[in-house]
Amino acid sequence: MGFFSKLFKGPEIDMEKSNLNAKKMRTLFNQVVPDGDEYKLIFGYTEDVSRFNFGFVHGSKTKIGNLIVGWNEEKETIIVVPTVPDLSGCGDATYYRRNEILKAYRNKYPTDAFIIYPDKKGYIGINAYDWLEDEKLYVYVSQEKELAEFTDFFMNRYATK
Amino acid sequence: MPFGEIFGAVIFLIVIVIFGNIWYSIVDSILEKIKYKLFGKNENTAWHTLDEEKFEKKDN
Repeated sequence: MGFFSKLFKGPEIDMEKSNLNAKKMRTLFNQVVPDGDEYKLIFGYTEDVSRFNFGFVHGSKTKIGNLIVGWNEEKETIIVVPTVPDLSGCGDATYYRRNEILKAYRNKYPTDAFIIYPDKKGYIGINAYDWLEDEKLYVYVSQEKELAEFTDFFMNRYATK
Repeated sequence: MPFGEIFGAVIFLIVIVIFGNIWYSIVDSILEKIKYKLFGKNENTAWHTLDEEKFEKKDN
């Protein structure tokens, strides 16, 4: 009984590890954003899919970029900080202020992602889920409540259409 | 189909897969090196390592 109930329950989240990573995300974010505590945080990632054809070998290659995504409702600003799955470091922050961007919307196809166009030249697609098990590819963090808050903010206050 | 022929076909497929992977690695690394030579390293790649001291303070 115990074995089968465990089997059907699916994987369980290690909350200790998740909380530790959430603190690391906060520390890194505050390191590169001066007023970092004013922003709520979630983990997101980008996917860069490219096709290749090397003679008789062809297919597609996907590159995953991990992101710490911060948002402030009053300032209507999203800040994106690139990082790595083990949260050993991060890159510089990029600011997406609502009054400065070209457009923002939630994409449903091909993937469920939050799309921001800072200008006509390029865009960023932020994918986010409650929890992703693969620690080698993604930051191990449980964020059901935070993701719901971010989705609500993005759809009701940030999206431009 | 005799067992030997099935075994031979499996080995043949394994060899093709291994050769395909090696071929992909070689071509991909050559292309990466060419890209690096042509465009150089991206200058906007500042990296900040996790400040353990601040992290530990937050932890307590």
